[in-house]
Amino acid sequence: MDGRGTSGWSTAAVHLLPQGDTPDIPPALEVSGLTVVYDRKPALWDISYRSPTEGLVAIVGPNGAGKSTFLKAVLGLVPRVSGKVELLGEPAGKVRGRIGYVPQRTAVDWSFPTTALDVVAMGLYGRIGWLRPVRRHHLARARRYLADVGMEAFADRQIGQLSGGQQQRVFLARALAQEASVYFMDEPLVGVDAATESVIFDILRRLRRDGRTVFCVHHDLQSVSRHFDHVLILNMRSFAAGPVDRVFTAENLQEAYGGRLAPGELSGLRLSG
Amino acid sequence: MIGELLPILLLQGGYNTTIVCIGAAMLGAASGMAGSFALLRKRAMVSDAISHATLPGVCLGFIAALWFIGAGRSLPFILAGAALSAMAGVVLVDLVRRSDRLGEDSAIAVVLSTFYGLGMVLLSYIQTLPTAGQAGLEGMLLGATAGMLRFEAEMIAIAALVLLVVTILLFKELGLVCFDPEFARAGGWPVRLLDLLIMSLVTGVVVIGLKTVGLVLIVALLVIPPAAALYWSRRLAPMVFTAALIAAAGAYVGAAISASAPDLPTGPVIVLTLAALFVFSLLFAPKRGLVVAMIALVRHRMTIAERQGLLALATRRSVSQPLSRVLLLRRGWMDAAGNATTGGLSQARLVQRDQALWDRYLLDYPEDAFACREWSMRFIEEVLPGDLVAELDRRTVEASLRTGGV
Repeated sequence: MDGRGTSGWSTAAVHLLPQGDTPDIPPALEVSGLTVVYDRKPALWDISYRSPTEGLVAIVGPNGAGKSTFLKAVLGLVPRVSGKVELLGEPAGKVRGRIGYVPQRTAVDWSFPTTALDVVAMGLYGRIGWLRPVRRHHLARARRYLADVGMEAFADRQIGQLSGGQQQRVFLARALAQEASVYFMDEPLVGVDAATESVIFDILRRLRRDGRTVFCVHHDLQSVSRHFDHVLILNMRSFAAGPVDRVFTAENLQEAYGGRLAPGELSGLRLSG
Repeated sequence: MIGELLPILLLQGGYNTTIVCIGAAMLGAASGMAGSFALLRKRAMVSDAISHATLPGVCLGFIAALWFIGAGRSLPFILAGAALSAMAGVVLVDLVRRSDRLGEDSAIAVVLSTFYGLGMVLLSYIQTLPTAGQAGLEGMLLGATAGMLRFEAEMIAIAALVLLVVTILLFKELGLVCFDPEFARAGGWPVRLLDLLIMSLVTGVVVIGLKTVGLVLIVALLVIPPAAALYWSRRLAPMVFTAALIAAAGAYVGAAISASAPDLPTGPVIVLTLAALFVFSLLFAPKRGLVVAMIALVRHRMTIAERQGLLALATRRSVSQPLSRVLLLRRGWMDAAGNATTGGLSQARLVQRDQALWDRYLLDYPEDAFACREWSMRFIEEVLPGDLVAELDRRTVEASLRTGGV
């Protein structure tokens, strides 16, 4: 039962688990009482969550549990009915320059007239600033981030000519170009090939090594314990949160997924507890 | 008419005509750019609602000018009225769209027709007024550069220049919002404001284009050039500048023709010029034009025939397809008797290995392979990243070891 409240209503206190952090470093993300409503239907209900100061955090939960909505609400992309969000100990609006974002691949029109390199350069816009054009040295820098994901040979391809995995790598390179302290990634591993998957996990490990925090909406329960340090289990409420080895238990998952996980699905997992 | 047109096109038709033509070209450039961003933000047709929504404002501006300064025909009054009612149109489209019952297309249709109807009623009211100088208003429907005053032409040119400068300064920001508004907002860019700016640029183009192009057809100056430009470029900046160039050329030629033939309204002439440029782009643009696409289709068939012929050679089957035979013979990969030559055999081995990798890709990543337009059309190394090819290679070898092949 560690890391989880006895009922969905009273979980808030349990999320303030001691995570072994030095008290003077603020958590990467702290949310209290977050509620989001779509069209009168609640999508997230009274979520309170305190993240670690660094490391890789998987956000898991059944379909429709509000995983993407959680990211978007934290980033201010969807309006919140109530609740407070702090990133790196400050209101979200103050630290925009230190936040990186990888939206879902389906969020954009891939027939847009732009190349892989130009998309990666968008990650530099924040530092280039208002009204200033993208210069040659910016493109040279963008090219290096493209190389980090093994895509430098495709720099001048129109993005619609890339495969799904390649498009995802371009999105990841754009986020790397943001050089953020905290990253939010929305299902970066959905529908990608194995080579892209290992590139993405390599990058995640590198970000962890550099002391950054990555929140990653993740659908594949199989790979959670192998690749992530912390987990946040959502089912409209914050169901459980904490280090993978304490929270990612068969009992928690079974309950969060409403008993809909087949025994086979569970037995394949490397679970804790 | 041709005799008069040439000197005008060469800017020798007198100062007034020259200024009108230059103003039209600058209006076109501004329109091509603003229109590009509207098109890429998928809001191109909102510009049609905006342009039709100017008509009531044009009439009310005329009436207001009549009250305040005693003469209706005052361009500043009329343009201010047009801008205000255009903004009202944008806000209404947005409200109707947000009600969640109608899509943006129906919202546009409702607003467009209502404003246009209201404008026509006001226009016929104005025509009953005993004032001279109302004749200019009908010109705003379809555009009339003939008889444009010098100060009007200069005003249009300067306003177009302002729009151009604003668009160029904010090029990077506008492009970002058009491509990925969520990423932009997460990065702290004011997406709503930039969206509003795109619509304001479009409104600006519409308002200053009233005299030259007319409100009925200005949508063409906003939409056709970027649509044509998409055939020419795969990057944003060249695409937008191509759109500006096409629009400037169309507006310039249209204004010049209309100036030499006073009975010809400018708008239709401009639209026809633009349509010709669009058709030309559609047919002859390199890479994306239809002609090139036809040639590519034939090449594509030849590539397939050649590859299938080589695969047949590699497995020592006879090459049955006539096109494959012709291609292999011509390449010297097969002799007249249908046997592979030495060169043909080594080429066949290369293609066989490549095909095995493509097949592995299809088996392991079916969705990516389905989406890959170049599946087995080129050598896999030219299409997929090296790490992925290496992985496929490893798996192919593994699979063939398992089945005891090779």
